[in-house]
Amino acid sequence: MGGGGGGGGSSAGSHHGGKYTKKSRSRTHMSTGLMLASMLDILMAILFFLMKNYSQIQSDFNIGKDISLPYSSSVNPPVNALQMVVTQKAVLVDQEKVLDLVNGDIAKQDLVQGLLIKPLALKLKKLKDRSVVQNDVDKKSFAGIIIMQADKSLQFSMLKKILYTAQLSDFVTLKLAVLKKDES
Amino acid sequence: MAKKPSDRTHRSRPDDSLNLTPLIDMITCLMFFLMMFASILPVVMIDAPLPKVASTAEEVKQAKNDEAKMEVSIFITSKGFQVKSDSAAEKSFTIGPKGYPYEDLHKYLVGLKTKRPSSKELTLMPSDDTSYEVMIGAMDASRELYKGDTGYQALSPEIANKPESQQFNRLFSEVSIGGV
Repeated sequence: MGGGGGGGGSSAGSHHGGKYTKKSRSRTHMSTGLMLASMLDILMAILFFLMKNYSQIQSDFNIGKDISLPYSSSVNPPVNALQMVVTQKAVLVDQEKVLDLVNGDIAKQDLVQGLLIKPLALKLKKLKDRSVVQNDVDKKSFAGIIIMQADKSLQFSMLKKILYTAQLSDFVTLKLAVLKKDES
Repeated sequence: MAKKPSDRTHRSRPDDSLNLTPLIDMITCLMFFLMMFASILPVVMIDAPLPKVASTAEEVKQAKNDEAKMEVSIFITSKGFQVKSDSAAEKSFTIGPKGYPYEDLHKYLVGLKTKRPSSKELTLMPSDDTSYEVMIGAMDASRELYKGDTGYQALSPEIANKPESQQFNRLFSEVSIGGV
């Protein structure tokens, strides 16, 4: 288009002794706007890459706040089950704070016989009862699955008490939530 | 034939090219949301069944049958790992300059597995001061075979790094946490 117009203008300019030179120049002038087509190509490429990545992410799993999960080579996908989050400050069950930790450990008044955590046991019992009531068809089929998200710096002396309490509350199928280690 | 200047139209012709601006706006918005969600770190699970107290006669019988299998326990202390099993002598791995010797532990476990390939179970016995991160590292070292290990099967790219891959290259697939 521009080329054709330019050709006509130059011939007119030669006929009329430079009278229409300005007009012909404006006609041959190329657009100075942004080349959006190439930008669109780049954006589309990024978009496809992001969408491909997005489809691989199990985004319905919420990582607790104030927590640093350890990395693992496991490839098991997350499942839907009761979630327990153990940070350096508190223990949460189903996103509800059950007890506070004192200096990264369980407070003495929360413990029974040095191992059983009373508030946690009560909470787990309540959740177990609710789960059994909801499952009217087969009351013996309580799966007892619990997913634990724990901070990587926590010590076993503290985790032991939580695991012991979960075990006594019939939550024996423990799954540990960790971050997938990058293989590359 | 060229028209006279007075006959030429001075009206600007409408731009017949595609207006890409709204399309770019839309893609930018999409990208923003996708990038926001892509920042979520991928979470995976490790099965760590807690030891259950055998209460029924059937469970006690099952436990007795299991005695025929190899029992492997890894004791984790602040000094390193100590592996105890009924088919080999006790073996210790002390902490080096790079931290806990996960590689050495893994190689030793591969050797144990070749003695009794049917064994699947392993118990971790962490000391009180063991951090959760070290426990996860020990679980990783015990759970599966690595590339180059005896019996390692190369997987096709379709199933590698997917849950289906867990049918292959198992070392001690059932790692439980003891001392609870």
